[in-house]
Amino acid sequence: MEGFYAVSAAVALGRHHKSPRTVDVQVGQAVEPYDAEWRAPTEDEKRGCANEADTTCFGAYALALAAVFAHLGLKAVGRAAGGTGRKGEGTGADWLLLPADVEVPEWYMEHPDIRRLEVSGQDEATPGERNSRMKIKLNQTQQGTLRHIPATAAVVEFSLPIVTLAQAS
Amino acid sequence: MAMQMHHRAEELMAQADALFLRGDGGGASSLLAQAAQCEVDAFFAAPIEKVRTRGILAASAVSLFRQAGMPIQAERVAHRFLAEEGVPDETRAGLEDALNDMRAEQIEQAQGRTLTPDRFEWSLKGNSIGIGTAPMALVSHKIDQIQKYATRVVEYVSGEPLRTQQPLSDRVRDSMSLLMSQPMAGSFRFALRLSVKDEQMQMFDGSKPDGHQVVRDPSEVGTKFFAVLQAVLDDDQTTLEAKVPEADYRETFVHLVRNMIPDGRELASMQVTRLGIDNPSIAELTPKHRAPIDKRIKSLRPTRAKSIAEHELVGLLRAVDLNSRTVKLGPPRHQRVCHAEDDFLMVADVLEGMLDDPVRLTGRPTGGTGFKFSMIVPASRDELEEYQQAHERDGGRLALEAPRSLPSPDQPLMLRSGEDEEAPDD
Repeated sequence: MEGFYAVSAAVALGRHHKSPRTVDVQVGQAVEPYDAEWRAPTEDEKRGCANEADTTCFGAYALALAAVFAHLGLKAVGRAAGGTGRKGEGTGADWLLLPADVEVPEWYMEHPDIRRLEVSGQDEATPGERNSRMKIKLNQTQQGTLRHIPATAAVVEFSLPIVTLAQAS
Repeated sequence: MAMQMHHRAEELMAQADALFLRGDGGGASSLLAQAAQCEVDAFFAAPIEKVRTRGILAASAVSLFRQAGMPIQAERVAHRFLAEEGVPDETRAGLEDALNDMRAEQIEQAQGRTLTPDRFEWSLKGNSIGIGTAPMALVSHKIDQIQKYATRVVEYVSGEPLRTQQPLSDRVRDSMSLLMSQPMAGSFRFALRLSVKDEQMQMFDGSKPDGHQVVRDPSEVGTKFFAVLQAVLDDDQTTLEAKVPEADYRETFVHLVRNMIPDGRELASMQVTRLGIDNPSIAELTPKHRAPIDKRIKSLRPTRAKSIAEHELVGLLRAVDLNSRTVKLGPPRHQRVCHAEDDFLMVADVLEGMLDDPVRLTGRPTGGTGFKFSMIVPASRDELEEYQQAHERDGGRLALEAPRSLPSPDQPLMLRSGEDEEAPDD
């Protein structure tokens, strides 16, 4: 993962929390806490994350990828544009995942267990708003040019913080 | 070789993200264009049997060119991919969708208009809704109601005074239109997008010589559209007043949203998702919203003297006459004409949105068959049937007439069958 995704996550988390802090990961009704530590961003890094919406989006990538690794045993092996993206359009990026214990082959996209990860970030949201966002993401996994690849949706909320995961049917 | 090119595309995408974060959109777009070309090269270098990989690379290339603001290149490579073998059917369908989007954008541009990034995706569910199919009358009726609401939002954002009877002004009609995509698979779904006329910016402010405002930021229309809809559905009066301080417009919006609420019989729910923005939103219109909105509408009416007993009529809305401020209720053999109270806000498209549907009128009998209403809201087919069954007389003929003499406040409205007779002016 590129360093600036982690920096974005640190800035987004830093709006509400200080390191270390537990991050909840929710699947269905089950919630499990995970310890999270991050380096405080420098002033330069904060200035570089002036765009709040993009910072939330890119920070969400970092937390979502960490959550699927820790909680679902999936690792990021690549990415491709063509997902629904942060604006819900068919012009965003998806992460491609494989089980963490799989040796990544050259043609990893042909692997039968390949999944994509659709991520959405929210700075502050009520449970209802989180559910609504998840509903949107799950709906959108059925659309777009990559809709034939199984998908996991992740909604990251930074004020709690909590990562909600759901498998698209 | 192919995967090396793809890895290069991944690096470029990450670098573009970093530039976006710093606010360097131009630099980011340039990197995305390079990433797109890498994906194109990777696609053509990948063996034909690597079908899934080629599908992902094709989708990625087209998407990246679009993100880079290069629709012509995106269209060109989409056609090249579609002409190739070894592309999954799902990817082909997605590429066709992308091409349709791009063509729509080009058509609008050629007409001096721009499609806003907002996209409102509507999903209809209910007993009469199939997989990708729905009764045409129902769909066209709902689209008409949505358009009426959207048009009002455009007028409001443009600073137009509330129009009650006049037709839509040419200026507003020309400035913005609503475009509908082809229906999508799944429950019956379609997307609506706003198309805005490209206008030269004013030098000093957004005012036109006639005092009207130019919609500077078309996304403001989408934001208002959704915020007002959500506030009405949530019955959040504080937010609604903040979003729409003008009482007449506020009342009109409440009515227009009420018109869109499904009746629960043919249509169980309508879900709308606003896409194309940083924070996508979703709202669901269901029959459970009817009672609170009706209560809200009732509270918006001018206060009546408690001595005046109120009664309700349920029937099909057959006609609206704005000049005489009357509505005609059916069924056809037993039509009756009802007058609006003098202080009733009679807005053309609010009433037109209920035409040929069951409605419930609240008001007072005025002698003979006369009835003056101060509130009119949509009713369900079930309500209409219940009403008809409760008031069947004379061998089952439906009567909608008020009693010849005024009932006492605690006496239910007694109805008798009668001739087609217009209510006298009182």
